[in-house]
Amino acid sequence: MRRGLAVIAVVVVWLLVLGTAARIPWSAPLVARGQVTLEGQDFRPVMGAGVEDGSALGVGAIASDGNAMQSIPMDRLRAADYPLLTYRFEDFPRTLELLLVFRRADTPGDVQTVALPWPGDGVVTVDLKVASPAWRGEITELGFAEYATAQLVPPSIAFQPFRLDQARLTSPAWNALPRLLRQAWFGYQPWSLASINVVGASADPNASMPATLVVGALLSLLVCGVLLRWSRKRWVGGVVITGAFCWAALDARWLVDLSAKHRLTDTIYAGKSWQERARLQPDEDVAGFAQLARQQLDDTRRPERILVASDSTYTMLRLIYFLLPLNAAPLESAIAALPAREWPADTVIVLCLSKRWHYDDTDATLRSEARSIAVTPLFVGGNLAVYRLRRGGS
Amino acid sequence: MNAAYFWAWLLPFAAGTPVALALSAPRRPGRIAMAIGYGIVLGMLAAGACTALAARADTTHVWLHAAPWLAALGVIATGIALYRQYRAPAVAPRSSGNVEYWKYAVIAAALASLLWRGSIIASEVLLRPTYPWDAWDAWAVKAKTWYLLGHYVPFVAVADWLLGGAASLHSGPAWAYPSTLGWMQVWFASAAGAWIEQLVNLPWFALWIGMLCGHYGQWRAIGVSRAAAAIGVYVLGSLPLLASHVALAGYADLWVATLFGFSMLAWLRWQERGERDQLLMALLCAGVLPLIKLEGVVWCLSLLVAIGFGALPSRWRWRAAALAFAVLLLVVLVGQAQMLFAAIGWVRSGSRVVDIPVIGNLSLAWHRDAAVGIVHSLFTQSNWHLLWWFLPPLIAWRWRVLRGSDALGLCSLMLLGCFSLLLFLFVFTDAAEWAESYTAVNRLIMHITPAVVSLLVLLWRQQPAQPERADTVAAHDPPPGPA
Repeated sequence: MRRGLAVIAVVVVWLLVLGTAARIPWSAPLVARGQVTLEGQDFRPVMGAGVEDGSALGVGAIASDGNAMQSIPMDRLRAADYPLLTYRFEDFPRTLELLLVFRRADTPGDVQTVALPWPGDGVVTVDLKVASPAWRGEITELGFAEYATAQLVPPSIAFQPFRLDQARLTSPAWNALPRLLRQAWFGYQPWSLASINVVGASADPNASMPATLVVGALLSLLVCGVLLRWSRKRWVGGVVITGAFCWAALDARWLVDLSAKHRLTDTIYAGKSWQERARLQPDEDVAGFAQLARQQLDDTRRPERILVASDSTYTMLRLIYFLLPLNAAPLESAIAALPAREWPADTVIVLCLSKRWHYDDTDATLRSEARSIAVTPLFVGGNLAVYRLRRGGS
Repeated sequence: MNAAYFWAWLLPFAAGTPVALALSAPRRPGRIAMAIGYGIVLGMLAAGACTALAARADTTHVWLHAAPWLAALGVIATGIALYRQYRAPAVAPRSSGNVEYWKYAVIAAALASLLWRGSIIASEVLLRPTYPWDAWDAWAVKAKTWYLLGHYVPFVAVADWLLGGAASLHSGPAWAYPSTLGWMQVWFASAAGAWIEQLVNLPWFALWIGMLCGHYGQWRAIGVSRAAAAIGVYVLGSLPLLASHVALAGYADLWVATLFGFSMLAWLRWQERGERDQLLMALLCAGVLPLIKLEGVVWCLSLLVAIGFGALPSRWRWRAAALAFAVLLLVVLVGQAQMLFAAIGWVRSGSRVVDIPVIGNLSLAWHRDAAVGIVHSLFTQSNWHLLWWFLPPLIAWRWRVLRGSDALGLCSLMLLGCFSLLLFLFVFTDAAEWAESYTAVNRLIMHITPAVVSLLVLLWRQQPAQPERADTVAAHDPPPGPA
């Protein structure tokens, strides 16, 4: 009798704990009351190219900017009624990142975006209400966008054809619990620049697997201990075994995640020479700019100091790294350290993807806000420009 | 890969391992694991030191210039280790005791999972070019410059760089960072024959191996059973953020964490076993910390203060603590105070501001979001599995063990002090933004994490070892405690 009661109590505890983690409302039914199914063939390519493939949409090419997008008009769908999005792709490459894009009736000119978990070949369910505060009001257009995983995958090798099978929007229901938690806890998350600081997503502490396991385990132990009148020895044994089990579960999850991360690395770099691996940089455009800048500098008298600027700090620092062992440093640091008129005469300035700094032809000066530097252009081409410092400027 | 690269790995190992053996009492449990672990780490750092000293003018052929010094170190250390082994009294082989089959199964599964993740992260290091931000922005810049130029050039502040007449000066955002790891990277780049980032980053995988072996060996030497030490190795090796720092090689934090853990364990061993060589090892590891990363100064001072405090007779300790507290109180009360720190320069404190040279000028205020961020970092994110959940209950459960061991008590106090320092930094100063954005908070906590795992493993021991005289260590080696 007591054992049966304990089993029922533990099941209830875990339903409550897991339901809280998945943020399913207590009032939700077991099965969704409403759903809107969107077949792949109903989506239209907005960027890139795609063709109908049975009930799916086959996406076979990306646009020249490296992105693809497919969308479908919606008939003023109330976002609050359909927070759960389930989607299914086939052969979706690990190298691509997926976004949900949508428009709302209250802001028809704005495109809202939500980063979605990598779909793989399976079915993925996410709670859009949790994923983005923008999921509200009435939805007038909905779609998916794909691009090379930022700062991780070289765009030149990112795209592979895939199929968009189906998307489905549903109202909250308890039967979505396993899929929501599977995605939140075991979904693939690619390496990112933040991975060196924090493992996994930090956005939703409510869905934290460590905290959920600890709370569930403690409540289960409490229920079992009280109902089954455990001795002290049993308590200690129960705590140790449960703790070890929770640790092993978390570690298994981490190993699954680590393996998935590594499969991407393997996809990009395995079987290639050291030179090819060095060439396959996630920011191959910046590496290309560095090569071009190096060529331009080789054609002139080799400068003793190079100052680099870009609107993006990441791009600026990466360019400096790619230019090594050339004697380069950030332009902004040099300006903060010393007035330009005191800089050595053989200083060269390299601008890369910079709108903040622009060249004023009228007085041969680089300008940014109130700052100006007198220069002589050495090379100007697209997003890269090289200037030599001109004496007599400010 | 070529033969030189192979030798470039073998030589640091062959130099570092005898150094660790020479500083360890012979016939101590876990000695080989300890020597391998400490040896790999110290050997790689020694290779960097020899490169810095002997190959500045020709970084392309570091091998020719630095290898003889490293080899000489290895030969001398081997001689000392063999002499000590020869002089040590023989002891009868000890029974390892009966271990239940289920424990073997658990340990085998745990070690298999370590092997699996080890193979993944080794492959990750060997495939991907240098990836994380500071790895290419800060830590690899000097090494890549020196290697590709073929010689050393000094890195200076941007103003000095612009004013300097000669073009031999270089600069960059991380010009003031210590160069030790950079020199080590030059050693491996030179052996590889090119700047191949994957091969230059491979020492981070060796560091992970060394950290696990070194901790296992020291735990065994301090009296932890094989089973408990193996589980401890699994716990340490399974921590996700540590594995991430290996897979995404290039940051200095794992080196700091390893050396801090090594130093604390050697200090603990000196306290519990009375092995004076281990005090030397503790000081060596602590002394290297400032040469790895600027924050290493703080951890080095923490260790030195703790070692000094622990070396005082017990009747003096509380007087010293009271004196230190009084000085601290005076500093706070006086408000505008300046305190000389021998290693890090002037620490200035005002009523709402503190200026620490290695960190910067920090205004003091309570940051609630940072406190929440730290709680998330420790308890809800996936960085540490359940390490920080387990720590308080385990300490409470083993409180009597902790109180009964002077060595463990001192280590706990030191770790509490280090952790309090981090809490103060993140919750009461401008560094709060690093906790709110989850940038540096986990990396700085990582610095003390291996030491915290050591504390947990040693608390798990049934019987803390009683202090022994060094000359009786081998003869009176106690049997390992049960798991």
